[in-house]
Amino acid sequence: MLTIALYFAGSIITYFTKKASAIIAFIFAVLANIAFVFTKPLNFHLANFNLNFSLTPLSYIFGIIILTLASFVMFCYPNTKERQYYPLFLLSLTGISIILLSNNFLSFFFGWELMSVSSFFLIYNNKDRKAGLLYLVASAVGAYGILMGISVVYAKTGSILFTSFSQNLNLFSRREIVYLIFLFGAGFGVKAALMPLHIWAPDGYREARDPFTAFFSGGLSKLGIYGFLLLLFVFIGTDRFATFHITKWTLAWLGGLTAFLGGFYAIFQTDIKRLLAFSSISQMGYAITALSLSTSLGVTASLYTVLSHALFKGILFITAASVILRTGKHSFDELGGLVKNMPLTFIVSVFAVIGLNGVPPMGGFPAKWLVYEGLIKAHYPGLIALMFAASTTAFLYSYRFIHGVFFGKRMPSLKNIKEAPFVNILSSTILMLALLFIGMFPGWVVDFFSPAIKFLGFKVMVHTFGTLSTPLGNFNGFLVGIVFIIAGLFATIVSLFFSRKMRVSSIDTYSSGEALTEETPYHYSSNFYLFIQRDFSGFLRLSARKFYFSIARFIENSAQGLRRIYTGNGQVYIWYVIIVWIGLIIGFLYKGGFK
Amino acid sequence: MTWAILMPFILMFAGLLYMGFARKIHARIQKRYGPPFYQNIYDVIKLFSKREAAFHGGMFHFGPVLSLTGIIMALMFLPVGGKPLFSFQGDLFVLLYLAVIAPWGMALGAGNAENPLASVGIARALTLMLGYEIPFFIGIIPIVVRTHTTQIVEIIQLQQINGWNVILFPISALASIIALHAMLGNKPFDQPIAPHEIASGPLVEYGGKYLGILQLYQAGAILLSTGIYVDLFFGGASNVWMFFLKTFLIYFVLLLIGEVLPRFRIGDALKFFWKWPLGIALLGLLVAVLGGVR
Amino acid sequence: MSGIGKTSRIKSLWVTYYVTGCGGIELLPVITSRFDAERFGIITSATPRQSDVLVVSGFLTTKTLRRIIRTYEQMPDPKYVVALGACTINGGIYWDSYSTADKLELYIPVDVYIAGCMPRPESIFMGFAHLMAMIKGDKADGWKRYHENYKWYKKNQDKALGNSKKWRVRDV
Repeated sequence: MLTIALYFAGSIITYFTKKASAIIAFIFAVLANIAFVFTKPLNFHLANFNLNFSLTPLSYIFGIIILTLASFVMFCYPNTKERQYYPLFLLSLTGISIILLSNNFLSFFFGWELMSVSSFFLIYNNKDRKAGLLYLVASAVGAYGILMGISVVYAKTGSILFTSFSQNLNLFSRREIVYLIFLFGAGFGVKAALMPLHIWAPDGYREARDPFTAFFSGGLSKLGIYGFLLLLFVFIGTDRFATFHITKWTLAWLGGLTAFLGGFYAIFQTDIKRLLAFSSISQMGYAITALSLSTSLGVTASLYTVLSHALFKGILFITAASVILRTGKHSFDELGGLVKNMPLTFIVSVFAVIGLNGVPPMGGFPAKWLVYEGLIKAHYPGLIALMFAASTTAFLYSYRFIHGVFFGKRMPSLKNIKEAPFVNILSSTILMLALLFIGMFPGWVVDFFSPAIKFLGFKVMVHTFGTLSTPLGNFNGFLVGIVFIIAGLFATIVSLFFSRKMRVSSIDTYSSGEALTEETPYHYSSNFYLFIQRDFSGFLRLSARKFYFSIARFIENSAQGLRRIYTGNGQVYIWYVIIVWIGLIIGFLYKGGFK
Repeated sequence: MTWAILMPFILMFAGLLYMGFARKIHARIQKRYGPPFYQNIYDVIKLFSKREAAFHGGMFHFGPVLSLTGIIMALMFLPVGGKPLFSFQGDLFVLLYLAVIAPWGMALGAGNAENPLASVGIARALTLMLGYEIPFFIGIIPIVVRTHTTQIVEIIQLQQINGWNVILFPISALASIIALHAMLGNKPFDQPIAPHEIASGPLVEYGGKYLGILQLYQAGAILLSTGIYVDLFFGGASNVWMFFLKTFLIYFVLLLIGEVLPRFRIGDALKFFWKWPLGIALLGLLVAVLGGVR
Repeated sequence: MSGIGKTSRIKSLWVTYYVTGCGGIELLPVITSRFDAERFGIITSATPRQSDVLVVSGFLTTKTLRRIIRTYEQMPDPKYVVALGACTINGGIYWDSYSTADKLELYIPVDVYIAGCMPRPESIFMGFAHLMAMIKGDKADGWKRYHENYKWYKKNQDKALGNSKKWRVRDV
């Protein structure tokens, strides 16, 4: 409870301070983070409801991941000078800690709404209202789904505690449980940006205030996964949920489609943050597919994806924030060649992107490995193909990101860009080292997750400090890391001998003998994947967002059609009254009149 | 352990010989003599003996270094001819993802070459990867699902008992071999390194020792790709000479197919991969799943 | 570098053909099946950064001479220049034209001349064999001469072509 109080107090205090608000916010965040670990259970009564707060192993894991990432992002340099940035950030953290610590539906919903509304204010700006409003509407729809689910549960069981729901589960028929999954799932799916509920995410992430987006994507979207884990394994129960074959299958395929289509759309984006937004949607698809398998490997894979995604997406969004802060541009058409100006940011981004691709030895690989092993063991061969396709699209869009920002020929307008702020680089480096650690020591991470896995009702997989073993195959992360370091040293030494370097400037490159100048636009970055875009232009015209907006237009048009009757003209209404009155008289006389 | 360290270099040397054989065969088909089969070794030594090499920046230097690192690592995890090397510590998925480090290194290095031709080459290489990786992987899934293991050594051992996978899963083998053709970078799928269109793509600014390192990477990549295919579909090999024989036969057959075909356009190559090999691979997957998996 | 390094340089020559004029027509049979040059390890390289030999064949106008010099400077050391045809030796049949430069060796150092108008493929092979013998005997040092006498070469280049950023990258 100290956590919630600290966040809330920090939120109010930073509204009133001006210059020191960054440091105060960071101190409050770190203190609350530490206080989270030591939370004790708390019970209190409020208007005939019994509210229970406690720290379960699952919320412990999620709290450490999300709140520590929040502290790192809080440490970064803010891109805006608005007064409300830190207060709203801390307020959303208050909401999150309420969600994680609550053991009853009422405060869970309160925290959910608090988090949604405070992050809405961090997206909304006067120049592009549509993105913020779409987020608000989507969140509201999801929240109503959750509220309806809560009402059904309260009506049936008469109590708002989580434990009473899971104990009284036999009061619900199977069909009602599926409806509950659908209702709650709508709310959690909106937060985790599961397709087809993802339409707020691309523009929402783009318009959010800059370093906050790192937390938004790395932390807030994980609450959807937390909700799913709570719903499917804690409330319904692991053994019970394993019998819901159709629901599992639907959720798995929805996650797979999200993973592939998110990656596919990310290939063609021209805006930095929109590309990273689609990438986030894609990675959350992995997590949802993994947890819908309802096996031990699946849940471990889901938690691992949550952890590694928080790390590398945090680094990438912090990089995007640094680039936008220094250059003021956020489209690939205007950037390029920044590797000379921002070398440290570049190095950190390359490691984050290697983690995004899921290449060993960085931390993204054990997550993907566990997903594949889980899918094979659970007999989903079609889905594993879709997951691998999604992973291949990750290679494409991540290279687009690195190339569009850092590589190529630098434009003359970008000549004097400074390196990113030191705090950004420090945060990113610590996150990158953490990513390397979880890649080389996957067994330690599974150890860290084992209380949560046992809490959800699964057996923990076989692991040692640096290796993971399944009945299908092994992965020795430590050996891969050591081999990488040794082979890298060998290759570096080989490359240092032999010829000396002929340093050439950026205008001394192959151009069939022509001489280039600094202003020559000798840079290929716009329409990077035009050949794919041309061939799939028909498919790319379909879009879930257009579908939803067409439904909205249809309803609006049919309401327009209703205007023929409800014309808004008083005389027409009087005519209606007269006609109905005459009809009633006729009916009255027909039935026999006054008898 | 010593074999695990020596084998990548033996395989890279063999890959150079394969590339030399490829040039010889290419020449003989065109009714001329062609270079000796050890010509690529001279090429690599000549490249390393250059006095200078153009240098554009730190990543330009570390791109080929990362490439070489990646290919050495991947070759250490590939079971070769009866020697499992590190293969028990990392299974099929580890190998498939380790095989991505090397092209990724080349892509990063070429990006720093500040030349749009290099960028176009990398865009084409990645597009082609989107094309061929999916059918290749779908072709491998039936084996993994049916034998219920992802350790390559166990798949090889099961093939000694049950017969080669190319006979058990012929449709998947066909899909995977078409994808393998693109992995090797032979015509008609050599869009990334097209010498006449984009001046060798990512290699446009590389000369001297960097080009030598990248040639070693290409040589190793030939053995890696054909090695994965032979291990999964043709029963591995009991000793190193049989391994070389089998991989060379597959390389030879793909070379002959490539001789008569010109280069595809990159959009056409992507559409081709998502039409035919993907269809064949999905058909193979369906057949394998219906044939009783659970 | 002796021994294996020198042998490999002899046995694997990668060539950039700068075909400015009519001399190039005799190169086509050389590099294709008729008179196969690949059996000696001589292949066409895609960019100057990857090549060892620059073959200049034909007359030199000011426009092409600028690009020849740029290409030559982009090649990494050690590099050799083979001048093909009479136009590079003394101007050939265009010796009195207003737009050609007469002697190639004033602008970049030449290692081997192959005389003729145009030289037949057999002559081109003899020229390459001569280049290989020169490399073996350490006599093909055009690249060293360029570094040592750069001021003299630059003076000639400036006199013929002008010193401007439009075609020069170094020492403008």
